[in-house]
Amino acid sequence: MNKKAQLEVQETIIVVFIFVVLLSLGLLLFYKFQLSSLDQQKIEIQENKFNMMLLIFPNSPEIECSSGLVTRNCIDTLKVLSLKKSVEQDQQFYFKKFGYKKLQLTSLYPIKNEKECTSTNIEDCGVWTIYNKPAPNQDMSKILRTPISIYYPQTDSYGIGELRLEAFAL
Amino acid sequence: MKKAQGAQFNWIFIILAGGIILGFFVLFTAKFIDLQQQKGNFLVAKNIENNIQILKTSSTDLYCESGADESCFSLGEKTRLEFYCQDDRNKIRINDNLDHELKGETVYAPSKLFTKNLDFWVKPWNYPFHISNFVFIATPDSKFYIVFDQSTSDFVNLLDIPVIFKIEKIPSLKVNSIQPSSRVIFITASEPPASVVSALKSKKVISSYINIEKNKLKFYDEEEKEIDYFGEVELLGSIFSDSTSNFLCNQIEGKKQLSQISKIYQQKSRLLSQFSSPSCFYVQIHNTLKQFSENHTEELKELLTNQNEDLISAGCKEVF
Repeated sequence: MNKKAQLEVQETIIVVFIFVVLLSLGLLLFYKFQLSSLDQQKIEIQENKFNMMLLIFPNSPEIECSSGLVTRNCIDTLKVLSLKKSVEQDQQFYFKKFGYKKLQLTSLYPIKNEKECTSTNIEDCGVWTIYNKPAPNQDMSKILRTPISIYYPQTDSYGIGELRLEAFAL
Repeated sequence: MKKAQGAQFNWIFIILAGGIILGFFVLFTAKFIDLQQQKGNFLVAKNIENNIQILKTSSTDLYCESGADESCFSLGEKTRLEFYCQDDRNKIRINDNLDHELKGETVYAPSKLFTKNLDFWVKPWNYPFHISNFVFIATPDSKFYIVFDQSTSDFVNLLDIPVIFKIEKIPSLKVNSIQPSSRVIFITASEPPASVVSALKSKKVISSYINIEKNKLKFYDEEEKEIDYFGEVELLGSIFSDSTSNFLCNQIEGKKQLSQISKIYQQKSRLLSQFSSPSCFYVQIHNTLKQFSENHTEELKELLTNQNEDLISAGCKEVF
């Protein structure tokens, strides 16, 4: 084989090699992109679940207003206080249930103060921090709010409140 | 000689390089197919999770039939689903490829399914107060036979199961007429004869026995363990479930929830006693709730219902 032909063969090999390398890189990038879309889907599932929580949580047996087997669309403030106490006593169970979140109820009408409600100041408070577990090393959070009817069993009266759900890690 | 050797090396190089390139493409294709499958499985998991969440917002009985309502529950394509229990956690495996945890959900379903559509039923579990919403799942072609006798006929006939499920209530069982892969539930005074159970096993029919007098049930699987059940909703759960482990997994989840709700009502009764008139005695119901949070017996359940009604009739605020 003469030198010119040898050079042509070498040229072809280099071209094919570079083409294969480029193609492999392209395919790898494409695969990585697809893989990240899979992670995105995982986050979407978590986000959907969190959005649904705004619908489900006020209707959960832990806080919903109930009389016998009849339930009403409101939050029972005494149950909220009781749940707060249960959360303190069994943190592991509720962490499994709620994860890294903050669940808070605030009274809007009748307007009350911003004092945290406990069993000793039920009549003189306006904020119930039901659950609070911030994620370590996580500054970003997603917040959802909804107005909600609140019920005071001790006075058999109703008010308007805001339920605030904050997710720290989705 | 040197020239011939050069040609040989050339061929070896071509085969090696070609093999590596071909291998890379084969590996890429396999990985890509696996990734696409995983993406599809994620969509199925998302679909199931969303449907359960939507159905669970209901405070009353709710059901949906996949065949009648297209928006109800279609997985898009035939999918292999496996409901299983791991470390007391309810999990679902999709197409043998993706494991998804059903966090805090009580889902009674057959262990293994290969289907495109699912029928759903959500029923609140009240024992004696609202504790959770149970989800029952079956495929549109699942067939259930409930065998009763004279002593249980009234109970079985009053069992309120939506018509979307193919339930046949029969006074006696002819093993030959039972379709393979169906479910047989004996709600009778005594257990079925061992010969009937083994005949059903040989037809790959999963059977179970429910004793409504003693509130006990047993699945005829490897474990054959006698289990206590709490209320009619759990009994219904055992109809849709098909193994001891899956049933127990859901029961543990339900019991945990029952204990927590009892503790919440226990606290509520204490708080109510601070604001009510001295004639309202919350001490009794408080103590019963304390016992009930650890011991969920039918007697304590009845006692709680009575104590709550007594409070209402005395003009006091009810606890639940």
